[in-house]
Amino acid sequence: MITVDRLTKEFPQKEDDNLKAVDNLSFSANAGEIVVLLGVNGAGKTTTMRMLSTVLQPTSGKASVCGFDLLKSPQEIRRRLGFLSGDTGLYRRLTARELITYFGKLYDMRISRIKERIELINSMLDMHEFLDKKIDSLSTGMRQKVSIARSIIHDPPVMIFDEATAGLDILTAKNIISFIHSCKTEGKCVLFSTHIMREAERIADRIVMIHQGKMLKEGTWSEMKEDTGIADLDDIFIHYVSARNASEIELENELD
Amino acid sequence: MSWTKTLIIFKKEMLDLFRDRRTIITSIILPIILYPFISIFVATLATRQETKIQEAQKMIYISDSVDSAESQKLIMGLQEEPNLLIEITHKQGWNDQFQQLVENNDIQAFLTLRDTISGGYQRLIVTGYYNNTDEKSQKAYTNIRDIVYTTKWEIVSGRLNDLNISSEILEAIDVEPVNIAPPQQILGALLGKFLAYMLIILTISSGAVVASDLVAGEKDRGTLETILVSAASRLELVAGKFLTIIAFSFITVFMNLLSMYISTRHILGMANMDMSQVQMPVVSFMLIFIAMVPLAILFASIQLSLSTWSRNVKECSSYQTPLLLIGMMFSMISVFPGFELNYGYALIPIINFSLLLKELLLGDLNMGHYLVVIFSTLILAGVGVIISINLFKKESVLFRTTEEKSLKFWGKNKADIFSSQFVIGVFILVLLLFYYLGTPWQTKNLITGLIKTEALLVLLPVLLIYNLSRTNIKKAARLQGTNPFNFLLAATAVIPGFIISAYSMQIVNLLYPLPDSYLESMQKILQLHDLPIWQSLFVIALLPAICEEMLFRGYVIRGFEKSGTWKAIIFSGILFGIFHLDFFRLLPAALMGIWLGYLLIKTKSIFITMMAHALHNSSTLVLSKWGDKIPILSNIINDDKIPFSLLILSIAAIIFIAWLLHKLNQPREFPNELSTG
Repeated sequence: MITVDRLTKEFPQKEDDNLKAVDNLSFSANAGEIVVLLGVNGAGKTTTMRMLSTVLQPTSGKASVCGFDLLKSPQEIRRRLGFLSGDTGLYRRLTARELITYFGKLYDMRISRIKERIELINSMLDMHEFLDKKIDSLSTGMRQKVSIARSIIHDPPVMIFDEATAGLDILTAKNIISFIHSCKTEGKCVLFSTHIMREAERIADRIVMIHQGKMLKEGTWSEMKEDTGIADLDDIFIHYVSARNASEIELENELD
Repeated sequence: MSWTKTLIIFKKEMLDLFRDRRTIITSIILPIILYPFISIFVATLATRQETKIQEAQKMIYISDSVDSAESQKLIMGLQEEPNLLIEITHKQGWNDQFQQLVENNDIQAFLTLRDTISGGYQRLIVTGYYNNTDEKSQKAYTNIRDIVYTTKWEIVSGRLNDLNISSEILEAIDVEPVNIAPPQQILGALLGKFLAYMLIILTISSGAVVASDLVAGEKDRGTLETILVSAASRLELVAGKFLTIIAFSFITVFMNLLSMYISTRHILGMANMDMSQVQMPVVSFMLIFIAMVPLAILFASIQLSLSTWSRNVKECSSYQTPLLLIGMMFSMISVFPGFELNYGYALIPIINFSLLLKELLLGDLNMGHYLVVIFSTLILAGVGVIISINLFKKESVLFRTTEEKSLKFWGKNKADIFSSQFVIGVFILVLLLFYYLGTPWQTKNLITGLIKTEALLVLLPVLLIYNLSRTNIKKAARLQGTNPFNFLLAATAVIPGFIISAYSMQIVNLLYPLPDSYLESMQKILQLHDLPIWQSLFVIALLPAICEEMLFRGYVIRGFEKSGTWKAIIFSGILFGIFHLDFFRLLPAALMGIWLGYLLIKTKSIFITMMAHALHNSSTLVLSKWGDKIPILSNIINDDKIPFSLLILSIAAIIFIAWLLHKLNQPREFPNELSTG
């Protein structure tokens, strides 16, 4: 459902040297699959996610979501995409219901359909208590639920979670994780980015490790464990990073 | 773009806005409560104060060295006035002490009476010391003056009576003032002065609150990303936000005006003014409303752009302060006497609105002016809208990093003296010095002032910058020779250049007629107290040519060369125009700056531009001194009209010279290789 083909994003810096936040990245994610983008801070995860959600335009390369091209039909992609990040804000002066309805309307949904969806999401996430309260007065956990509801009001087949659990306490993070699992069982395609190895291990069907904007390794955890012969997740990641650095140094030496 | 979606966004923003208590209280509720309170309070206080001063006892000391029947009569008249306490002093030579008492407000006035003989009659001379800064003393003075006049009248009548002449002989002229201004116009004159100011300030300040929340606020709250990934297009988002700003501004303005109107009515009612005669000029208000729409769109587009550009609300509000200041200054123009709307002013936003309102409310609206004001503002508003939409589409603006780029050169990093930010900083600094030091120097002594300004404020900063940054000034400022033909070409261009410059000045004069005082001061500079010609040439032509060229062509232009030669030429030219701190010379000076920039870029020698600059200034000087004696030139000066054909000819000449310069200075290394490969 998501295919990424040699996607590159450069940010213009001072003094002409552009920063390549994402460099020739290619991977794919299918329906009913949870793919985790794993990398340290600044690896290019958020930039990739933003490009896929059509907020940023790639410098080069291609990508498609649900068969729609990123550059040609961003509007179509946005209709089929749910986006949730850890620091997503909400309009605090609206009630939860008003906010969710507002986004539903932006997705061209009919009022009756929005009401239907809200009822469904409401029972799924258990939001009865605070659905008509102003977001200002809600707790962090409740707000997180409103954010989730906002991102799935249009029932998108593709979900993108950008560091969605970062900075959340265990209980609220658990809400998200269980929600991601439910997305999978519904047959949605899930792309999830994190820098926490354990989290990646728990939910990933497949892992795409990226470092300095480039693909480091792709595969399942068991494949990676087999490949490296290392049991600890953190060590596996470090192994791949140092292997990359070594090969780069070798390459430089050859060039010299 | 779908309007339904824009409307959905608009409705949500309005709902969000009206739930924000702080915004509603400060921009709508507070003014509604405040106006009546302030106006009633001020009105009652003012009338109270007036009667208090009127009735307060005023202490007057009188030193009467005459002691005649006349002086006695005057003193008696003063003593009869109930609010004056009269004290006669016989102390001689204490005048200074009594004056001191008046100055300290211990007493309100001090009178000395003495007499002279003129034409065989005795004349009483009353010297009255009073303190003009004290209201009680002022009142005492007017009281005394009235009594002196009545006493004088009585004495004169007595004298005439003694001669058997009727005192009617003195009534040769009577003045009967009748104010025929209809109440409509009185109200219009009153409103015309401050309504524009109020409308503009209210529109800007209310829009600022909303605009900063709409984009910068979304960045702060982290909601920007969520609306960007929603199915609304960026155009729909901008349009919805736009409508919100405009709607909110209009609501605020309307509520404020309504409250002001009601409280003014109340005050006038208290002052027993008949309001039934004054009809509210409904048609005028409709016209004002229509004229306000493009202006509100313009402000909204500027504010939305600022908000989009800002990283957070705090940054946004700091950008909005200058906008408010400009709005205040421009809109106050209607308060100044002598400014009347013409087609020139109709092109300048805010000023045109301010003057239009004055014209409209005085009831002599020129429909041509009205349309020009609306359409010129509409065009600007359109440009503003396009800019704000494009900014909102630019990801480098929407996701600007938090790094403080603009202030970097104050930090530890070695300043890049050729970065555009640094150059603009230097330019502003020079401009400020020029204004705060140079202008006073020149008022004190024109010649030394001019010399000091050019040497210390224009040349010295450049030398300092190059010296402190250890930059090779010869290379950076292009202090290098060039093909002698370049000098010849640049010198040939002076005459057509001068004609174009003069013509552009005439266009400015047509749109914004030059005040006489301005022409006089220009003439004064040019004549320089009839200095010997070689000295004038030094002060007016040579010195500015060297110093100003070093600043603009030797330094400022460098700051923009990275972004392209043409941009550098035009930007530095415009800055050169602004540098003259003279609205009327902005266009000619900018044109001149652009030409000099072109000369520099083509010939790569600052000596060329120095020569051209000096020759141009000299020709101005020569023309003002001997222009009358040269047949063709005197025509131009006296008729104040340059034939259009001459302008076309000059432009053609300049283009031809520019082309020659381009050809002459083409890089011609290895021409053979270029042609074969």
